[in-house]
Amino acid sequence: MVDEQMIRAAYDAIAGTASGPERVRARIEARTRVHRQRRMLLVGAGALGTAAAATAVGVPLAIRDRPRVQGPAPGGLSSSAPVPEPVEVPLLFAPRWLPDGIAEQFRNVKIVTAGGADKPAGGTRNWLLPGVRYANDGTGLEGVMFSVGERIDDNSGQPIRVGAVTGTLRVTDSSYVEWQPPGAPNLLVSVYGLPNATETALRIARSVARTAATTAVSMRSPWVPDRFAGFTLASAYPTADGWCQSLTHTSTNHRENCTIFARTGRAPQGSAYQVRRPDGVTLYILADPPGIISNATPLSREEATRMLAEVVCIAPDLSWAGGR
Amino acid sequence: MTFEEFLTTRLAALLRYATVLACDPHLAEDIVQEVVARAHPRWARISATDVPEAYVKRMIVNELASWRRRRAARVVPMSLAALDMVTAPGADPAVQLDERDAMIRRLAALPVRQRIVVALRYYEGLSDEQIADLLGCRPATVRSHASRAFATLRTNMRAQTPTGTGGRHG
Repeated sequence: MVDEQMIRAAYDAIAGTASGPERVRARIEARTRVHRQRRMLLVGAGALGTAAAATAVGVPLAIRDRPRVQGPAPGGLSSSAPVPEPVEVPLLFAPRWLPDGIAEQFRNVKIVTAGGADKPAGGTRNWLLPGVRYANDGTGLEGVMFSVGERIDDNSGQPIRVGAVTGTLRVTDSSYVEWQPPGAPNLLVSVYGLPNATETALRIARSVARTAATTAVSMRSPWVPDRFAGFTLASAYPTADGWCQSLTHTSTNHRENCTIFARTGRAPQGSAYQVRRPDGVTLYILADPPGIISNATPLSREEATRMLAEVVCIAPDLSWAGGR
Repeated sequence: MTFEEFLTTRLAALLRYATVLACDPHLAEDIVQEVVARAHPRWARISATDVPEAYVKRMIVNELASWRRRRAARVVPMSLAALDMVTAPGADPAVQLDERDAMIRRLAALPVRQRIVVALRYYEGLSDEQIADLLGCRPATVRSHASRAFATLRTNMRAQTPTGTGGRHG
């Protein structure tokens, strides 16, 4: 048994070795002075450059300020014509065996949008125990999760045979089986809060096969700022008062992302921007949780307003919800 | 709160926080300096948040994780000199301190993500959900990191018999 008190004592001792703030502060101030001087030089050069360019070509500066509109998004998800028809996106793989007593409560699909590729790239499905409702807050979900195209990148686990390939089994409070069939994306099964989780995860993993099944995406963003070009994650799940859908647009390097939600009923607390439609659907964009802000460049008010104004969304087909 | 006021009141605490996460006061100093310098031009936005310090702490966590990627060759997170600062022989003869020092070395040897999770849980007292928010992952991933960290700590405890304590088998 690891002694928690000993761990705390160790951390207190480590904290006691921290440098004093004086030296760090002096270094920060010196560095800030250098940055400020460099910025002043750049601002001067930039002003000269802008004036020269405007004079040379005679182009009104306002044109360059106009927001750039991204081309039609892959899979038709961001077609500029807001046609309220769902787009079918392939699931690619699906388990053929699942334990009794769980039902599907969540789906998302990933679509590569970089370079106009419009390519399905997997997604995630959750089957949960009765009474457990999918929550978008990362809380523990008792049941089964199956992901296509996701990876646990931590070099842990032990080798395990899944069909013709060797995968990885990790057992913590959940059991994870991860493997990659030849020519296929990475696949991941996790089981949390079910009896015999490891055996169950392995049996599910060994039942996974390619599928021609698709899922309907009933939401699209006709306009997305260029910096989010990379891939789009389209999610849908039933809620207590109807449904919730979202589109998360993420840059290829994963640094920039933004999510726009649509749901029946009211927007949750913490929405930075929201629009209540006459049909009872609320469109919204969440603010960063209190005290936590991602490193992504936040949406400007102008960008958020335009995205909310242009997003197209109809009620999702959730006929899969509650099933297997 | 101005940037200057923030530095005056919170810089020492940020250095302790980074030192605990990095298990290395020198690395912590570099990271805090880097993070604070980057936070300065964005201070208007950061100070408008409910808890500006939480924002900066998140930057420290991210910087530590990416720092390690950039310096992949760095295998032992805590430098020997830094370890000696904590575990100087003879600093205290008590047996408890031997065990504590052994624990420091084991914590310092954990992979960075596991180390961050354990530090946030035991030094900062954060819940798995709060740690998941901070790291941008699921709580299940946090539990997975914690679980593997404890497995490693247990294994290393069994492998190292504390000197002068008569030994103990866990």
